Amino acid sequence: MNPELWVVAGVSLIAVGGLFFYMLRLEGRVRDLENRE
Amino acid sequence: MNSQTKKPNAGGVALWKWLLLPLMGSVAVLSYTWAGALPEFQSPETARIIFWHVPHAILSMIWFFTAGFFSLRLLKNGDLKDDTRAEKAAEVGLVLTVLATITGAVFSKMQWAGGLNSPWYEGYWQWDPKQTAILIVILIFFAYFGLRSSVDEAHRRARLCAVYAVIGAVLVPVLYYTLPHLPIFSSVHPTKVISTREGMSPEYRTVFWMSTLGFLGFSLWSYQMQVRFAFVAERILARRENAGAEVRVEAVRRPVTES
Repeated sequence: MNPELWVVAGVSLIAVGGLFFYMLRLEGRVRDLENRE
Repeated sequence: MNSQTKKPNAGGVALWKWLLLPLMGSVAVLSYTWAGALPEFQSPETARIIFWHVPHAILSMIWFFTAGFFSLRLLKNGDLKDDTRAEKAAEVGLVLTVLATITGAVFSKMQWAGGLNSPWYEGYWQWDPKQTAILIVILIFFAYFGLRSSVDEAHRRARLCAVYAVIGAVLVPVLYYTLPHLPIFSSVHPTKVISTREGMSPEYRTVFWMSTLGFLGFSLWSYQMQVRFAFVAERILARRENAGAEVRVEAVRRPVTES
């Protein structure tokens, strides 16, 4: 496979991982707020 | 709800949310490794944008329908929580529509405008009927949020926006599917790529639906977070207003009781 495609796949993987961990952090914050209420 | 009787939410993150990481991770890798180029496209390698562009467009419509559904429910029962749900669904739909437009613009440059052989600033916008239609959808729902911010009274705002959102939700499939396929418009958008068996190879089809499922999960998660946050914020504001009212009542009563 073209090495450039591996680079693009890696960037996509990082983007997906970043989105996932951002959502996880957001979930934690909302739960904190609900518990503190 | 009384804060003394409310149980703290100590539960972990739901399993379906954890599954999004391997699912979308697989999409990111498989779309460039397992699903090959599509030779029938002008730029076969960049046909992979389908895995990102088309799910956004499909899901945006689903979220606008969701906004329409909650708006109809609000018109029926008058519950302001349905107004919040409709607003958040429309927000998720709008974000997905903007993403579909951006990825579509890149697709347009790569497939219809010579790709990287053309000047860097050319080819993103063709005024193709579907591009124009998605732009109109964006404007319709930007106007929805404009309407929301222009009415102060909550019940009136909710009813007005609900009627608007229902009309918007009805217009979306007309704009996405019916208008661009009318004979008076000539669209360069490929048709029957998703809807027919010949449109995509089995590998492409598998990765495409994995991607759609993954983005559905992420958008549902985002919607859920926004609604939960909005409900908490509403409860906090209501409590503050109640506390403020009690202080004002106390301030009026005090001179009477003291005399």
